[in-house]
Amino acid sequence: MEVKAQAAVTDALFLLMIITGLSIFLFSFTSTYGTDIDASITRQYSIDYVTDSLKTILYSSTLRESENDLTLASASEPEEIDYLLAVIKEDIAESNEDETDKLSGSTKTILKKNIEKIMLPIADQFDYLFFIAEQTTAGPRFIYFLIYKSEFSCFTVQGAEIDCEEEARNVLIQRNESKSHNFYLCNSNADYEITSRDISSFLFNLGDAFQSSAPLLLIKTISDSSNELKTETGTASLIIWPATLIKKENLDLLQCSVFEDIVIEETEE
Amino acid sequence: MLKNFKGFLGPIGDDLPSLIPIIFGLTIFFASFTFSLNKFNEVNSLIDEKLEILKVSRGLRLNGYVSSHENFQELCESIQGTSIKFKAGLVDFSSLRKDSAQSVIRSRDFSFIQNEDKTNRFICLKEGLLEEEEIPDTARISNLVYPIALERNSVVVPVHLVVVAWK
Repeated sequence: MEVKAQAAVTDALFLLMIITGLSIFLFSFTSTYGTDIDASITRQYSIDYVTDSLKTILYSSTLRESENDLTLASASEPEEIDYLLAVIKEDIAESNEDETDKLSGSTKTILKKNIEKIMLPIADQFDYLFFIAEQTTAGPRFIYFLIYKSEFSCFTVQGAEIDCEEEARNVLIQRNESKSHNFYLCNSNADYEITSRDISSFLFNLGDAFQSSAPLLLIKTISDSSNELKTETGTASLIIWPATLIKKENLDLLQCSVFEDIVIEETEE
Repeated sequence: MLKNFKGFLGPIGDDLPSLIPIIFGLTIFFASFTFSLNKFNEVNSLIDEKLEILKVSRGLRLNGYVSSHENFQELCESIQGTSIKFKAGLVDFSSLRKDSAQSVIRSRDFSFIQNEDKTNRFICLKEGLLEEEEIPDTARISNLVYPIALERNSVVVPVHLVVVAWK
């Protein structure tokens, strides 16, 4: 009798052990249940957003005689209006083959303003880049390369501000209060043309990025003397990623400078 | 004989100590089972809501281009079979200050765009829902914003489609 009673307690303890194991499994399964689907829904939203943004950028109209924004109000006014893509193609067609800067300063500004307006609702959480490239035998040549980047300030635990480029430990990173974001125009060095490999290296450091691309047909005049035209293919791409700290060396990889500095300089020239 | 019966509490009484871990174990099991079941139901309902709002927004965006108010209304009619309540429409974010765009999304204080002759607005509501109907404070709300190209007087202007859904 005594032995039987002890065996019953051991059986019960085994049962308790099995139930505890089962409960732990249930809890761990429950805590992660749905996270994959949730992540893929969020991912799908980002992909949809970037696809729609690119479509809207390429469909948009613009004012011909001004760098001002085309708004709903100005759309009804009698001004010369054209598709933004037509203006871009026109600039490319009128440029020389060996010219590195194929878009005019005003086209660059209009395009930047248009992109900024379209990306406004997610501008706090995401950074992005937009480029137009023409396909050459040597690979893609980047005609326009714009980056929108969040600016951060770095602090030590004691509260002293340090350079974010420093590889220090226990650093607090927060949004730069004076200038939270900047636009950069890349591929701005006449001596060095960036390549797809540079872009891949840049994107490698960003984590999750969502991309959308659209093919373009670019018409070019073969020479100034003849009216002969040739058609080349190109690409317009938009890539977004959750705002993150991008080091200067990564920006240098793409030969980037602050947008305003370059465009104002060009206008003055 | 007397020695053998020492401490004997009867057939049930002898197994009594083993009942404590059994009852404790069953309580843990059923508690975690109920908790998991509730959690599964909650997550499933959240996912269903998210998929429904994606379905609504996909129906309204279609190809990312709205050619007229009539076109928008046609798109609106095509998405009426959903189970969630929603209020969607086209909003001109460029008319807002950059820093106020985010707060407008949070407060849901949208002013939807009017059509060319200002007789209608680009707004789409779930069937049976009134435009002035307030979203209940207790409702679980989801917001989605997408860029969209709106054609007006043969000019294409970038605007945003805002979808607010709740259950």
